[in-house]
Amino acid sequence: MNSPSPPLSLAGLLSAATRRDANGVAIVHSSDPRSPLSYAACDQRAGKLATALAKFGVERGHCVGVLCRKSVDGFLAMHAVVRMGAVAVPLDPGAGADYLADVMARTGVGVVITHDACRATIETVAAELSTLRAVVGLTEPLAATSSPAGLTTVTAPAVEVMAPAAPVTVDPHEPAYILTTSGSTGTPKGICHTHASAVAFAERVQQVLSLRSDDRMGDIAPYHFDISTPALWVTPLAGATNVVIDEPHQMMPASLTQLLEDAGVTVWYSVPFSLRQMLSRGVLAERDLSKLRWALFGGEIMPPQELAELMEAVPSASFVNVYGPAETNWCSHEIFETAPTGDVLSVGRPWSATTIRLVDPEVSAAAEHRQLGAEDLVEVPQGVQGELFIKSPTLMQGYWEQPDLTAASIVGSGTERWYRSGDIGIRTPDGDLVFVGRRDHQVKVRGRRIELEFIESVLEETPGIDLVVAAVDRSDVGHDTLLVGVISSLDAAEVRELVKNNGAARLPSYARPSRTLMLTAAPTTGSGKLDRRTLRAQVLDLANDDD
Amino acid sequence: MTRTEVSQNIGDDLLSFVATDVALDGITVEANTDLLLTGAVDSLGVIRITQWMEDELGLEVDPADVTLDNFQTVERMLSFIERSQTNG
Repeated sequence: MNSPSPPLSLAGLLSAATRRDANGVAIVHSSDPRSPLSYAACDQRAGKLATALAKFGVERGHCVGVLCRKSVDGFLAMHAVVRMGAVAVPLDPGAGADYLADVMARTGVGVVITHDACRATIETVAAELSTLRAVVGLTEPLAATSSPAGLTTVTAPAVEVMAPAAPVTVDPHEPAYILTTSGSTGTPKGICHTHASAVAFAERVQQVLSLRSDDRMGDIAPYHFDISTPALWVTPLAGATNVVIDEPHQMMPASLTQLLEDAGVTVWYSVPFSLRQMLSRGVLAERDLSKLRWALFGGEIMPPQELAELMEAVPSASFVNVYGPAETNWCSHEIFETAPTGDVLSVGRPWSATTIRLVDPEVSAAAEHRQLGAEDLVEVPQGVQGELFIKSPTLMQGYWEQPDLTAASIVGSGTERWYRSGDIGIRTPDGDLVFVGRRDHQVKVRGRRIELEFIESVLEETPGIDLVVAAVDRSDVGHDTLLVGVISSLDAAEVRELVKNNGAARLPSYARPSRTLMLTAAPTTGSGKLDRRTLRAQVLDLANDDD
Repeated sequence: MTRTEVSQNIGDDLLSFVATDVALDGITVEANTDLLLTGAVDSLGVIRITQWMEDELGLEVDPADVTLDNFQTVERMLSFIERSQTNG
């Protein structure tokens, strides 16, 4: 056997792939003149970026922001950070400057890797965040006016002439990357994965999909979204090719399917929305997607009828329904050999060394008071709904610098650490899992997790606005929209303007309401609490009356 | 009205629709703004623009024509509209 042993951390992924095949194509992006890039070229470029980070004081364990749209730059930036044992914090390029500055302040990000596509955003953030020391990767330096004292711009041409740094050897239990999601109190949650949890994940994906070096994996999801992790980490593990699917292609299903054909994409992983768009507007009948062997989807519900139509339109592909919160990443899946029957799709069974237990929600609520031990996690009888508790080597280390939140979400310790998902599921007689819904006010709009309470608490801080209730309108199937109802003494036009401006500044792009409606009264429940459930229903009624 | 005046009107109407009703907050849209790279328009925005063309101009927009080439800027959309009107 001369195949090298798999790397134990993300740090050496590009270097290991380069040792196996230096000329293998690592990444292609149709609108990037540097593309295609070989593994050797990527390894070198990531090494140069790591050198630039080190020059500005980044050390192992420090958090480094990555503010990039889908691109070669984004892929290289993520690899550069983990290469030196630092912690990558991918940032939402569509988010408002206040939100980004808040995330960066909480994670202690002093250095950001970005590119020209995010120049305007980083300019605004830099003006707000005095702790930012360096911005790496723009073609031209930031103007002195938007660049506070002490902030240095390290341009891409300057990085180009640096000497590449070799990957460091990290302990697998060191943190590798943090995915930020909205929390229920207005404080973002940083889901922190270690090299060990990321490698456990990557190895399992590799095993399930049996990826080869001639595979070409579409890289579609934003970097701060867990669906992006297979294209980031598994592609180099397999020596395969990352095919960047940039945002413009994602909006144009007909151009997207043309790109899949032209680039010969063999593996696809996205939220169901993207596949459904291809089905309705991607002119699949005119495209040859016969190279596609895997089409994976997860993050929200896929209507079974549309899956059946997709399977017929792309018969070469095996379709897979993936389940897993970002805290554990993918942990269970169902591969559809034949068109699904029934109203809902199963998410199958957990993958290796992973256990999912359905626990009575009355019992699981005790986790909030930390009165629950691993021994209390007893499976409900088959056919009864329960909350999903997940034990897996892919489980996160915890929420970044939020020990209370971590303690309330993880039950047990050592090899018996169970993540309380907040998801409610049921088991079929065959033992397969079916996702039913959420325990709390968390909802998903196009695969992005949104806590309604987060939106409410952020917008309620606006002076002049007394109360905000957020709701998701699902009346137009497949086009879920986020609405807010507001109580305020200001007039409707002023309120709309306030919500719009504050949302743009303080909420991630996917959590901004698309409509604002005025409410007149605040009903209370029997115990005197604000009756948000009734208010949510009122908001939805108002929205649909207007239509 | 002459043909030029008609397309001038359509151009103004389309630009105003895209800039005020479709574009996401904080992004100024002009005729040659790259709507997709700047993130001014998302995938639902693209759907709304095609619906506008169908409702306001009576065009039948074939999904195969909803491409980067035809929709990247308001200018490109106008050339697409002109071609479709000539062919239709």
